[in-house]
Amino acid sequence: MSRRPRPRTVTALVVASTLLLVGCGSPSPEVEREPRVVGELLPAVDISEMRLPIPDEELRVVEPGWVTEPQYADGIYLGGAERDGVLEFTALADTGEVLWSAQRPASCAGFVVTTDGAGRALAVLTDTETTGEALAAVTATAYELATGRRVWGPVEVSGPHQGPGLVFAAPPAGMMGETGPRTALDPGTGRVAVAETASGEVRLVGEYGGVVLTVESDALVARATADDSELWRVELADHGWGSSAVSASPEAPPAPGLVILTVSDPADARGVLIDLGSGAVLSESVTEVAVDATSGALVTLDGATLQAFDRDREALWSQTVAPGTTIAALGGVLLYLREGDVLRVHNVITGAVAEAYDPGREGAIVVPWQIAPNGASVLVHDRGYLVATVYEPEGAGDAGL
Amino acid sequence: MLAVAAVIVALVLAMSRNRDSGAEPAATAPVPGGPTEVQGPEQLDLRSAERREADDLLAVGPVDAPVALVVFSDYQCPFCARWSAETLPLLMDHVDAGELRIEWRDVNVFGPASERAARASYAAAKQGVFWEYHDRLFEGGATRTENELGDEALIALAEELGLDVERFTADLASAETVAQITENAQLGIDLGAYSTPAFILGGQPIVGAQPSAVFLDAFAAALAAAR
Repeated sequence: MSRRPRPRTVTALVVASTLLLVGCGSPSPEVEREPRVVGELLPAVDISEMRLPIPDEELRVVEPGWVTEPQYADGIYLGGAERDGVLEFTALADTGEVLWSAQRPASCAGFVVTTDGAGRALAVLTDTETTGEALAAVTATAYELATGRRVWGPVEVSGPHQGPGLVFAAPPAGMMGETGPRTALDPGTGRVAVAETASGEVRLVGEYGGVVLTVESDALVARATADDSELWRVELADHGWGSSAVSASPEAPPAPGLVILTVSDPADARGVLIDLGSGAVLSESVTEVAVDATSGALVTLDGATLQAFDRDREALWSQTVAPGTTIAALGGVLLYLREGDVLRVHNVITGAVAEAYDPGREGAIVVPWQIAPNGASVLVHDRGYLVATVYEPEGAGDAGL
Repeated sequence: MLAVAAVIVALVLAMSRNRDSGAEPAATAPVPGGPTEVQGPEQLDLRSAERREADDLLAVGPVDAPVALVVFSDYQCPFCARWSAETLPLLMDHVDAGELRIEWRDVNVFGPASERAARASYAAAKQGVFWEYHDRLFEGGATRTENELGDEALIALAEELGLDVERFTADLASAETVAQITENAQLGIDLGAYSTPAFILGGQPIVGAQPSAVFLDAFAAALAAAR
């Protein structure tokens, strides 16, 4: 999978998170918190006035109505839509079937799709609940993404969801940092795997599918959330990084097993690409990264430098691109680049400019945002998010609570 | 002019799909925040980019060599420098064998310093030392800084190479040099060069500083096809 939110969207999310935080505890309409099985196919939307990528033209395109950026794992998308003042999350199979839905108050409700140590995809939804110790504590509950069955929770967390992964932050109140101490949960159980202390000896960077990254003394450390075992350790000095300079990147991980961190120094901030399995630093200067689930090709963008690598990380090609060029999506061996108002698509294996849109077709250009290994994709359109679904044989894919 | 086209990079390539539609990319209804144009490849006879002119000062190898390589480059492009250091010497062996002709075209997508360097290399070519001058601009497989591509530095390099400095200085700024460099750059732009480096080898496009083996394999295939 390659999922890579655009910076503008990330900024919007940060703003949205702030608003949600402010809104915690405010009254909200009645909500149906427990997931409800839906099992209905969304109707196909009319694409006659749209220019879709050629690989998507023959697919059934549906419109889930999400107002939040959808997240994806194992062939299922999770996104939220506001309905009558309530935030309703829907799990959508890549066939276009709504598997289940669950509601949360529109305020203070975060969500994240992750996987536990066994590789099971989970949806974790936050909530606000009154407890004996607090009037409006934030809780998190995990559900099996495919079925909506509860796996653990609700568990009380330190504050609203912050991410990456199952990272929650206490509200700011004179504590360390801008958000107060952070905690990371183990996706498999919901127990606290790492908690920052006021002394700052352990600084939490992020949680990535059961692996939590921390900065401890002079090292970046990866631990398994399940048993706290140390997986690897990278000495900061070996790369010239200061202990306070390493933080999570607003860029989402480009693929399972890869993480982008931000390293700041007095001169500038740069993205660092790390292999989550080994701690190997694959690149110390990236602005964007994407992985093609089909071919395994990795593309890195560093300012005006675009480079492609094969599955074994051998160089495929490299090009200089215009300043401001960004990666819109990568999948199905096609790399979608945005250069201002222009969209250009390259074959990721050869670097060649590919004809990914029918030049004879008119309509609003629809751009892929996330492309799954089987070709299903999330598309961005002026009406919001669309999903190009894949065909599923009749009778397959039953899901239930 | 060139600066306007500076955002354009890369070579129009053979397509992943053959189409007989010659339609221009369709103008579309604007999508808020969305693209309004798709840049696609076009069907071109890429071999037509070969000039095969005996008086081409930026070429090496027999005019009638069985295979020609057209290089679209920029003196501020790091991958162009790397390609010149790593791959070009391997291809020069085939030039020496009379099997390959290389035609150099500076597209100068990085702006004025690149254009200045291209004019300087052409001025050097007028004194018969284009490749020596080119090699020094990409010395060690690296690009020079913008300051090191200033008029003074470029003239100093000509002096180091033993050129007639007065003549070099005049050629550097001459209308004829400007016209030639502009024409060469326009060739790349007309072909749809969206990035550098870009190549046409035996009529087939190769984009980017790909491993040397890619070029050697493509050359071998083109040579076999030409014989």
